[in-house]
Amino acid sequence: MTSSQDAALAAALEHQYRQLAVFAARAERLRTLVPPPTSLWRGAAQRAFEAATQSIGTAVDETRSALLSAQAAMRTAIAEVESRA
Amino acid sequence: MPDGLIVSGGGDTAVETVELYGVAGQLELLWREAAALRSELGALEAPSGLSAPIAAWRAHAELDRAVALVHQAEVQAQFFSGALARAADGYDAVESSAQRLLGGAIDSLGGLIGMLAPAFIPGIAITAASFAALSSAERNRLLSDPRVVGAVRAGVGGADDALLARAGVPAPLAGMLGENGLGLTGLPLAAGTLATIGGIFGAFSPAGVRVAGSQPLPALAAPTGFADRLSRIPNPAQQDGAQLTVETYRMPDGELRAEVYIAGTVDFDPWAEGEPWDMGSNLANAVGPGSGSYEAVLAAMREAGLDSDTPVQFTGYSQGAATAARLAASGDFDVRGLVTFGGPTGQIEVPSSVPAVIVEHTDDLVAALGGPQTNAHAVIVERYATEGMDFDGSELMPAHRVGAYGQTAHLMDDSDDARLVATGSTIAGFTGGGVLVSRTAYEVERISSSSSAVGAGCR
Repeated sequence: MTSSQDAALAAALEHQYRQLAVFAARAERLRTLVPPPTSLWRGAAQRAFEAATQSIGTAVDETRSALLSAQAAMRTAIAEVESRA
Repeated sequence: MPDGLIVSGGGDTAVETVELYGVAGQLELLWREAAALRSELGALEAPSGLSAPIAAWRAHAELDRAVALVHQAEVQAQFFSGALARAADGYDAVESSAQRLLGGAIDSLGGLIGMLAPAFIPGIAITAASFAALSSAERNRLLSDPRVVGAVRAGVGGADDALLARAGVPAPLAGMLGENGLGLTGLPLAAGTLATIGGIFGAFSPAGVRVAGSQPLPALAAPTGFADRLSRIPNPAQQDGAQLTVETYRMPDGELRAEVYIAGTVDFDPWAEGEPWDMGSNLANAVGPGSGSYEAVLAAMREAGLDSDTPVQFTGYSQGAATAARLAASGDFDVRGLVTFGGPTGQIEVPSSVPAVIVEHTDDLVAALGGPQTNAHAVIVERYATEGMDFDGSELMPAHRVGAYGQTAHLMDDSDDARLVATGSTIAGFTGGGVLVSRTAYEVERISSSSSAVGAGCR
C-alpha cells in the first residue's frame, strides 16, 4: 500500500473518530431523558414502570459504552496506520 | 403530608395525569433522539479494502452493537410513551365521567330536596332552634367542621336544582340545563334568584362606582412568595378604607405589567350603601361579572393607567378572591396568573391558560359557598386550619380569617410539592426582575345611579 493511500485511510478513520466522540456525547445526553423513579405508581404498576425505565436506561448506557469502545478501537486503528509510514 | 397541606393539581384528580403526560412527553423526546442517533450511526461506513487495520473492523463491530442497543432503547421508549399517553387519556376520561356522575347525584338530591321542601319545614325549624340553643363556641365549632363545610359545598352545587324542582321543572329537564348538562343554570341561578328576592325588599341594590381616593404606598420589590402576596392585600379597616392595591412594574424589555391585590367583604349589611365590597357583590360575583367590587377594580385599574392589553395578575382574599376569579374568567384582560385565598370560587370557570393557585381551608364555610371546585387545571391547596383548636373565645369562623390563610401561605412557601413550586415560580416570575413603577392603594365607593360619575355598565 502506498503512503498516500495510508494517509487517506488515516484521515477517514480520524474523521470517524471525531464523529464517534460526538455520538458518545449524544448518547450521554440521551441518558438524561430516561425518566427518574416516580411515586406516580403503586404495586405491580410501579414495578412495571421501574423495570421499563431501567431497561431503557441500561440500553442507553450500553450504547454509550459501545460507542466509547468503538472510539478506543478507532484510535488504535489510526495509530496503526500512522505507524506504517 | 406533614405540613397539613393537601395539594392537588387538577381538582379532585386522583391520578396526576399532567405528570403522566410529562413522562410520556419525555419518553417521546428520548425515542425521537434515539432514532436520529441510530440513523446517523448507521450512516458511518466501514473501511473498505484489506488495508484497514483489524482495530478499525473492531471499531465498526462495536458501532453495530451500539446501533442495535440504541434501537432497543428507541423501541422501548416509543412503546412506553404511547402507553403512558393512552393511560393518561383514559384517566382523564374516567375522572370526567366520575365528576359528571357525582355532580348529577348532587343535583338529583338538590331536586328531591326542592320538591319535598314543605315536608322539611318542621325539621328545619327544629334544627334552627337547636342551633340557636348552642353556645357561641359550639356554633363556631359546628360551622368549622369540615363535614358540615363539605355538605354545604355539595348543597350549593345542588341549590339550583332545588329551586328548579320547587318551580315545577321536571328533573330530566333540570339536569339537562344544569352545570352537568348545558351549564345554563348552576350556582348563578340560585344566587340570582336570591339577589332578585333580596332586591324586592330593597337589599343588594346595584349602583355605579367611582374611585374615592388613592394613596401611594411605600416601594417594595416584586412579590416573591404566597405569604408575601397575601400580605399585600389591603386591610380596608387599617388603610383608610382602601379595598385594593395596584402595583405596576417595568420589565427589562420595557413591557408594563401589573399586580392587583383585592380585599375581602367590607360591609356585611344587605342594605349597605356606598360600599362596593358588600353582600350584594358577594351574590353578584356568584352570578357573573359586573358586581360592585368587580366594577370597582376596573375603575381603579383605569385610574392606574392599565387597559385590557396590560398583562396582569390578580390576588384576592374572600370576596376579593371571587372578584379576582371573575376578572380572570371574563377573558377581557391579559391575565397571566391568579392566586385566591378563601374565596367562593368553585363555580367560576377560570380559563385553563391562566396559571392559578386556589387556596381553600376544608373548614372554611365562605370558600364552600362557592360550591364544588370546578377549576380542574388549577393547583388547589387545602388545609384543615382549625384542627385541634379550642373554640372558646375564638373569632367567628376562624378558618376564614386572613391570619389562618397567612399560616397556610407560609406552609406553601416552605412546601416542596412540585406542582406548587412550579406554578408558584411561574407566578413569581411574572414581575420578578421588573422595576416598580407605582404602588397605590385605592378606595372605591358606590354612587347613586343619578350621579354623573363613571359607574357599573358605563365603561
